[in-house]
Amino acid sequence: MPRISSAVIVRYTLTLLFLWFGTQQLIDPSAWIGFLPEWVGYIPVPAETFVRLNGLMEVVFALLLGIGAYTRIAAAILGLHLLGIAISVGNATGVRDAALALCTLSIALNQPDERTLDARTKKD
Amino acid sequence: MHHPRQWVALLAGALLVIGSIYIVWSGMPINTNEVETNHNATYSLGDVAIHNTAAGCWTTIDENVYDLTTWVSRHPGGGEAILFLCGIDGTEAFHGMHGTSSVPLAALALLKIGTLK
Repeated sequence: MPRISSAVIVRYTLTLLFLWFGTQQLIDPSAWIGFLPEWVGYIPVPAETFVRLNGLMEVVFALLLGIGAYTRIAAAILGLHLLGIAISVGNATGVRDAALALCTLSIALNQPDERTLDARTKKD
Repeated sequence: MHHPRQWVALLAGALLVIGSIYIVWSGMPINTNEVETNHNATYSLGDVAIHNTAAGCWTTIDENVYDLTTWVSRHPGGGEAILFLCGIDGTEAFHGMHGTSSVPLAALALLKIGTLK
């Protein structure tokens, strides 16, 4: 049985997490409008468009995280983004999101794992 | 020869840019302002009353007439919270919720289309 490091499992798990949330925001943005901070209402962009843009950003960087290309940059962006959401949302959901954000940032703070494209191409 | 991960980043960047343009383009309101934007125009309560849906939502506040159509999807408290104002006098509801808070008043000023006859 191939040995899989915990770093690989954490990265794939967080990739699935961001892909799921990102695609849900793209498919049904109206369900996510209630989570938007108040200031979004005062910029000239419809709330559903804002949610879709957020979802697209999460999907694209989740794909980079999953493939392992520019892993640390993708993880840093996703982690900081989620940390911002956690602070904005607050309460129990915010605590959960903050924990997930720190897990994501832990990927950014370490060398890319052995299954990332970054690590594989570095060997060549 | 580019590094494989640079191709991946290039594709991701292209997806982000093209996707963003598509989302913004498809989310733009189409002809939501049914009348010319003339802040000096005057309207009757009947004019306001027929704009009583999310697709055409007018209200009056303090004798001014506002087109809330584009605001429904952007209202911080959700569209449902202001849909009941469509077609009616919203003075009491607006001041009851926001008082004289400057931020909602500033947002409202951008939506003014005229005054009541």
